[in-house]
Amino acid sequence: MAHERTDNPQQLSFAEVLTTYPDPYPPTKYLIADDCMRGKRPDLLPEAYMLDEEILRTAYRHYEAGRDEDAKAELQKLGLTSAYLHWKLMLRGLIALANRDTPRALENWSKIDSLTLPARLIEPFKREIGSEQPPPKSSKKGQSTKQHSVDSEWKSALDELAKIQKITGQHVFQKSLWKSVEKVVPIVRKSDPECYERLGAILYRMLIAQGGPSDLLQYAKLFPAPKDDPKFQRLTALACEISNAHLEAIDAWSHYEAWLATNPLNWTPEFVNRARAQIFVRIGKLIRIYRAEEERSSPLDFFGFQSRGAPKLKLKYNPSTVYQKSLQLAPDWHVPALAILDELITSKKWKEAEKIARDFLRLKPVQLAVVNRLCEIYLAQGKALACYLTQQRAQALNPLDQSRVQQRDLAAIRYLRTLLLQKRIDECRPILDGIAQKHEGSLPLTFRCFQLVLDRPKLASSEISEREAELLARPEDQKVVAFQLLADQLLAGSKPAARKLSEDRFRDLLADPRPTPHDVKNLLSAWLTYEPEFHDYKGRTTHLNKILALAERTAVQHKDLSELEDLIQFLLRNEQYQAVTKLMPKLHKRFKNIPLLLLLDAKALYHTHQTRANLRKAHNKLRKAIIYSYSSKDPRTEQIINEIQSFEDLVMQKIYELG
Amino acid sequence: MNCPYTVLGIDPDADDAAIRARYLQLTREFSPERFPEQAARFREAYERIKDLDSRVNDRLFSMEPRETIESLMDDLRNHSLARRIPLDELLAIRSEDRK
Repeated sequence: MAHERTDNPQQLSFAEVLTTYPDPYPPTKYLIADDCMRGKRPDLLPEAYMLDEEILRTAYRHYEAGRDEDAKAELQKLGLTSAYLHWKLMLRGLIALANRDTPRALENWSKIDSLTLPARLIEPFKREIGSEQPPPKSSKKGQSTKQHSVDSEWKSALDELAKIQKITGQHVFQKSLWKSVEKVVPIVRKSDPECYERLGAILYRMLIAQGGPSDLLQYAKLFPAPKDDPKFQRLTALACEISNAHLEAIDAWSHYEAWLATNPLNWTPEFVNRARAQIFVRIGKLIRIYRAEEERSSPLDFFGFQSRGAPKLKLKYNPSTVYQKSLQLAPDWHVPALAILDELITSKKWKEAEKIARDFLRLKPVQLAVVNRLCEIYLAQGKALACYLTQQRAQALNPLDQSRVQQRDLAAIRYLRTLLLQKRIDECRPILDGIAQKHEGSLPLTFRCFQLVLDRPKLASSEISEREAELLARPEDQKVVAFQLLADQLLAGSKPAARKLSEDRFRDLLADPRPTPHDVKNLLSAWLTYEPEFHDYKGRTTHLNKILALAERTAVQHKDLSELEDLIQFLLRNEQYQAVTKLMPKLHKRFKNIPLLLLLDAKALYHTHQTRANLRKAHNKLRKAIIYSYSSKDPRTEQIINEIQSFEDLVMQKIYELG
Repeated sequence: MNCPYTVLGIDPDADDAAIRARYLQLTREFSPERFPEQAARFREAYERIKDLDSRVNDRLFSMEPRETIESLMDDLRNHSLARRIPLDELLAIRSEDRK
């Protein structure tokens, strides 16, 4: 009736209805309340309606401002008979929804009369929630509004985001991306600044990997620059790195570092210094990559003519300078320290290198890579004792590290042999006792061989035989024990008569039993510990030749291919290239068309003599290796193919360089 | 969300010790044997911020997206429902509906 009145003035007015029927049929008063809420309040409306409407509006204002408890308290004032009962239920549901309490929202809304306006207002919310409740049956209006969402803007924002998601899943940005972003940005910027900021952050990272300069311009139109990259220098640097524009990346990083130097982000001094130090290291790496690429760049064009190439550009920095700057900013960070040490070691500037390593270890005594570099520096200067003490200190600081134990023992035996050469026998004993203590009373085999050589002059021949028999007890150690006993005797300067037995034994054990790859590896490892700088003895080269001859015999006799492959790799790691080229034909005869063997053969050829003919041979072997790889059933095939291909690039590069 | 601090549920100002303690606590609660996926996520997040170097590296050079458009959409979906709609706006939608 009330509704009809609004459209037809001939009908009764609200006031007339309420005067005629003081307690009208409930739907009527609900419809009157709905119209009041729509701003169509009639004249002469009973005061109770106006009061309830005011209560409802106050409660709604509390809800809008997030004061949910106040809103609920206000709603308490509306009783069950209120014309605004359904508005109350609607608002209670909205409050629950704002607090993500969907069940409570639905519970409140389920009590709303479907004829009322609140029922239609909450319908889209219910649809969004995915409620299975049927929509109100009452009006055609309700049916038509079903097509609309709670907030069409948000819906369109979500649609555009879905498009963005699809586009950014591809490798490069597309123009349509920015159209979608342009549609989303005004909506989220106004309604949800946090989401806007997050969208900016997501696109910023995507730009680095997928964008180009024009994308950056588009981005800058729609989003403010991030606080930590206000001029997009970091973004530019990272994007340039990805596209191998090294010089541009170096330039962008140096600008970014200069900006960070003023600490505009109020980071802690420690954090900002480390950030700058990391940037300098990054610049150093980029310079190295740039230089390496420059050296390799286009030696021949497509037709095989020597290319003039692009003019070489001058770099603002050199790696040493940037690593020095980095180390100044982060003196306890090992990365720049190691980079500087490696440069100094390469250029044999031992004194400078020693100072840097020692200064660093004062701050970080357990940085093992620096400890190793310092030992290398000491060894190059003939300081075996300093090397041993450094390893001992590092091991004491890190007692559970087994690799440290090995390094310390190696330094110890090196120092002991130096003492033996200098006939400082008495100084050897306390060191041996110390080593024994660290190994719970029992010396490792190498030290026991050394000790026997040390004790030999004082022992009766029966005692010597007894101790030698003990050392030679394990068949798998016999060859290496025989070698060490002989080599240490040579270092000690034993008389030829005293050495005779050891020489004969070594020769016999090399001949029989049949050698295994394990024997060869052990022998070569032991031989390498007699470094020419410290422990050169007459016959050292002969011993190496004997060991390599043993490797050749193993290649002919040993059955297990994987152990043989392992042996060849070991020989290559220890730069025995010629030996490998010598034994390879024998292996190829026994094991035909094995890709890994062909690759290893090519590697040996590449390193032996880098002549054009040799490199061509290596290249042919790699081609064969590739062909056989495709029919190989070896589970490592994929990895081997990758290795073959990258090595082939290296060989081809060398061939081009030779012209 | 791929933000390591969010994954570990830790303050961005946390120091090495706090980060390690939180990581160990999570590893105890979500052992790799029983919760391999969660444990892997925690491990990855921990590696990214475990010490000063990692944190600086993550801050300056990481190109890992901290979150995805998908997660943003999820949040927007929830947010649009939970958003407090002013009465005028609510009634205005209905007026448009009726047109």
